[in-house]
Amino acid sequence: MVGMLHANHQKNGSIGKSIHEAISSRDFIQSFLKAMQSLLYYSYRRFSRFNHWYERRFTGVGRIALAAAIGAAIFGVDTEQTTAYQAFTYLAALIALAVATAPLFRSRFAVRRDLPRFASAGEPLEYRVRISNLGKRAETGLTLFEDIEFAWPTRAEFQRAREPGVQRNWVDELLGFYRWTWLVAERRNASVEPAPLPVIPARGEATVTARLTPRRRGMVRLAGASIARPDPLQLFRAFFRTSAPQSLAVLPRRYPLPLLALPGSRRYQQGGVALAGSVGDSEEFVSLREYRPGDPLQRVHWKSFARVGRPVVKEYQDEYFERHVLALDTAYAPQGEAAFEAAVSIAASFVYTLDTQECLLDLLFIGGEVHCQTAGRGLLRAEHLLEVLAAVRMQEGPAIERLKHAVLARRGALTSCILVLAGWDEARRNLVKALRGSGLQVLALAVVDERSVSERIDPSQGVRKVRLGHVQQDLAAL
Amino acid sequence: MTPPLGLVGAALAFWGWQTGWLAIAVPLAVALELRHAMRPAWTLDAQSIHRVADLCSLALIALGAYLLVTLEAPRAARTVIGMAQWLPLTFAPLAFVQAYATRAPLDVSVLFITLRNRPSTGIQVDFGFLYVIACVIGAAGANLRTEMYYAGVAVFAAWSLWELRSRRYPRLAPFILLFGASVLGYAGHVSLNRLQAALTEWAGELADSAAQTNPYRARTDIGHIGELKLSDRILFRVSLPAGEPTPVLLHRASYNRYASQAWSAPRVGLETLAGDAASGWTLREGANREAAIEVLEHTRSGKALLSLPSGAAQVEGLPPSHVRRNRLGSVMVETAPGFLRYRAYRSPGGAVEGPPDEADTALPDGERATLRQIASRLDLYGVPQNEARRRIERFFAEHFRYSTWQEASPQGIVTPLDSFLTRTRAGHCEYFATATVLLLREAGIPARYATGFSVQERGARGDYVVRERHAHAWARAWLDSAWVDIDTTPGQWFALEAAQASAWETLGDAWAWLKFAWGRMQTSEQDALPRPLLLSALAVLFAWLAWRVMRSVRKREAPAAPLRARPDPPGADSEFRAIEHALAERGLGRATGEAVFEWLARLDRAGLDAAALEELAAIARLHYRLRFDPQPMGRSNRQELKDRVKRWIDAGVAPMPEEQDRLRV
Repeated sequence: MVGMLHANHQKNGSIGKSIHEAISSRDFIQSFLKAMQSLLYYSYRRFSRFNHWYERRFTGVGRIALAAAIGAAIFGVDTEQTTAYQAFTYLAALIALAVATAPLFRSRFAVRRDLPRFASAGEPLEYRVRISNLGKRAETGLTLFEDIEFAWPTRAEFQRAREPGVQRNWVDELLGFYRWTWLVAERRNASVEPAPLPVIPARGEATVTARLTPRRRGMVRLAGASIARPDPLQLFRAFFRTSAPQSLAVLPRRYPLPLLALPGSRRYQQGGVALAGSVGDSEEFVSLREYRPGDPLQRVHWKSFARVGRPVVKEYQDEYFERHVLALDTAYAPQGEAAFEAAVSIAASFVYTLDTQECLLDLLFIGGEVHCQTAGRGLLRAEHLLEVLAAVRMQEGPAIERLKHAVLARRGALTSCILVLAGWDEARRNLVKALRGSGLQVLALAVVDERSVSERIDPSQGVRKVRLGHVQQDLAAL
Repeated sequence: MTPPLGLVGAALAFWGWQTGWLAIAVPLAVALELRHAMRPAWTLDAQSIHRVADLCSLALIALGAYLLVTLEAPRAARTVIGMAQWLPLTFAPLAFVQAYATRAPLDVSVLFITLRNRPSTGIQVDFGFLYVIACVIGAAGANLRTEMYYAGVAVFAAWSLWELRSRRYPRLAPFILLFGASVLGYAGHVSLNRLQAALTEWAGELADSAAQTNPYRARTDIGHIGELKLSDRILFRVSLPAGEPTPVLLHRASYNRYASQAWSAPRVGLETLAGDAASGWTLREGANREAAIEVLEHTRSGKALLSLPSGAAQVEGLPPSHVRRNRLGSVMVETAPGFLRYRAYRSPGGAVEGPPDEADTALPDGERATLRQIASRLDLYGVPQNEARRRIERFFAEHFRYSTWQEASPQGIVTPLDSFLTRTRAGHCEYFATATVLLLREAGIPARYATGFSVQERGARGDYVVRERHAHAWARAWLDSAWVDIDTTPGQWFALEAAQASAWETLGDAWAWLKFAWGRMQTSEQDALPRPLLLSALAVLFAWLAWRVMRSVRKREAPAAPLRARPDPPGADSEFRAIEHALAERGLGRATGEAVFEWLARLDRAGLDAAALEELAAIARLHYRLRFDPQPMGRSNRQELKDRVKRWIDAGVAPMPEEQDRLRV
């Protein structure tokens, strides 16, 4: 018989008691769920660490041997029923010996990478790695692994994270394992295939091509490199680790855009060609005129000043050229990260496609403060804007309102505005209305999630809909 | 990397040797090894390979189902062993696919259906090596306890790994590793076996006996402070005869000695009952054959105390068992583990145990004073026994209530039973039963403490379910030369216990229902019926699934099979061929690669009749239309071609003999 102590000495009335119980049971459920989530988070973290270790340490053959040992152990758990436990002890001994050889790996290496400055999200990148053998013996049969540094997602981040574009069943949703693996992959942000090394002569050097595939825009931090040596039976790897910190900027994913004829006309640009550099319309002298207060000192024509005794200034042709603003919405969007990433990619596509030989392009977004970067006519090049876009983050607070003021403040010099919105709601609708109301030509694109019904865009509002998951098609239809 | 020559075949032969299926294993092994002499012969796409793998898995599942139905207990363990043992046969089709269809390693998704709809894991493995593992592990199922199995493991592991070794090292290094593993593994398996033997001996049947009723000693929860909580687990199911009043008390064991809050039954002996599975076991003569109580329960160890109603005279329906009875009425069976289904027939006139002895009247020293005090207050001395019984029953009914909650009593001052009788007057059935037994004894009536179950909860099938919390204790008194059950526990105990049922009870019940349905089928006396039925149903299911799998393999293969070099060009059936043929017979045939009009020009030079040649050119143009015009030729034009060819051949235009000669030059 099972006996259990229960030290509940509550002597309340029955109603009070039941209310108390209801409250405490709700609290109990909440605290239980919280505890479960913590437990899941820590066990997933442990699992990820273990899995990383396991996948690096065990070769394919080693994994099969380990699986066979486990299978034999299960099948042979009763040593009187089958003899499978003998297979288990043999395989376990084999693996143990293979593991025991790992500390015998004493070779030393130095690693240098020829890493390009940029990579593009989703595009595999090949680079050369030079490995110097510092030992007195030639080395064969080694493999190069790159060590990617990243911060583990915190518990809050794990709970907040949503896998974009994936519908999971409720069990997976509750347990969140797939979400966790996705999140870790996002954090790691790149995978580098292990590269088999050629023979490295003693005190010599060998070059190998590594292949890195970044997942998303941002940074990839390569902390170091690991040289792996298998045991004689190729079951388990021993590692030599060397630090070689380097990072790589990953530019946003880009989509091909159709030829765009941006609306609007040339506008007077204060600062003229000094701003625009040497390319484009020349600096054309028109006439001399009398000095008016406020004219810059550089414009004074000293010879005429000397001749007539009054300050005379040179007058030049006014400079007009197209100047477009690409305004990116960085406010928290209802669709979250996925929509924001799509918006950044769309902005990057515009930056990459627009011909900045002939016009200026301002990239405008709110990130802590108002950021405005101008490209074209001898100013920054498109790559710089892409680099900026690689680091854009979502912002809390009234980012849309601030974006509106920033665009309207530049309104006089602007030909048109390309507005890339990471969602569609009341605030964003007002933004488009306000910009249109100021007489500016606006090409507005909104990233929407087709699955959420609340996100219908009224066609009369003149906003192009870009569906999450169909960005390519919808951009092609512009 | 593919398995070296002979490895897969040898592993399969080893499996056959160990399991005694050499006659099957050797031909299969030869067939698998012949692939080294051949080129890959079959073309199978990934989906067909998946189908073959599914077929293999299906075969394994079908085998498992078959073994589960046909094997004797312990079924689950034997089924697992059987399935593993037959792995090499069930997965032979996949081994053949790997050997003959593709030399490339297969993606790991072949074996795991859950990986198929995902992006490839990139993990690829030659199934030949896995097949070797399956053979070696399968051979373990034969459980031949010779050294040959371990030798086989070491040889096949070394053989497989030798080819895969790292070329970084001299050959001695992997050899040392393999040798070291053999020695270590040998020592490991010998000590593992010994360890298990030692553990088994040490643990004994401790684990198994914990859930059973001990007929010699019952520790009570008398004196237990706090909440007494029993589980909702369903222990057995009972069918009562129609109209039987509930609750029915099913008795398991009686005890006659009470000391330190525990009841025991020292020196009660065990007598073996005569009887067999066919005729049943007789406890007493005069069984009423009309009303039987049927019990279905599960025993893990094969040893069980039967739960019998008071007055049980005949027990039937048990499998072949060794049935014994002790002097206090506990009936113990020893049989194969699994489900027990038995019917108990009663005879009128109380419980069947022998007459009381002095142990049935003994009073524990510690309780004497309290008992005497209560007995004199109830005036139990000197009244007729039945009157004394009535007074005791009334005493408990009027002054006591049921409670599973016990507060701490001043320890060392009074005993828990004293506290129950004089202070709290509330407790669970063990208090009531113990107090009743002792009061009856005080009144001069021999009495025993009986334990068992109270049957009163109706199950879904119209039968009754007995849960762990329905365990009950009552008193058995010797009145009018018979043992009579006296249950003084207030009747609401059952409802009070049920109110504490866990929220998970329904879930547990569903599981128990499945378990008992399975048990009922297994213990069914028309045993001959369901098993062949089940087997044939399994066979039909498997055949259907196999047919579906194979059909889709065939369907997929069909377009790939008849690989024609090139389809017939349009106009291949042109009648113009007849003219070509006729002229070829005369030595004027069209050369290979010669265009029709080039040929006609040559014929012209050869001096063929100009009119015939002109007609031939017209026919050739028609033939060209048939042959090359993208618009299909009309029926009338085709008829015209046919007619003109016929006329031309019938006209029999023949070249001059001398011109033939010139042609030859």
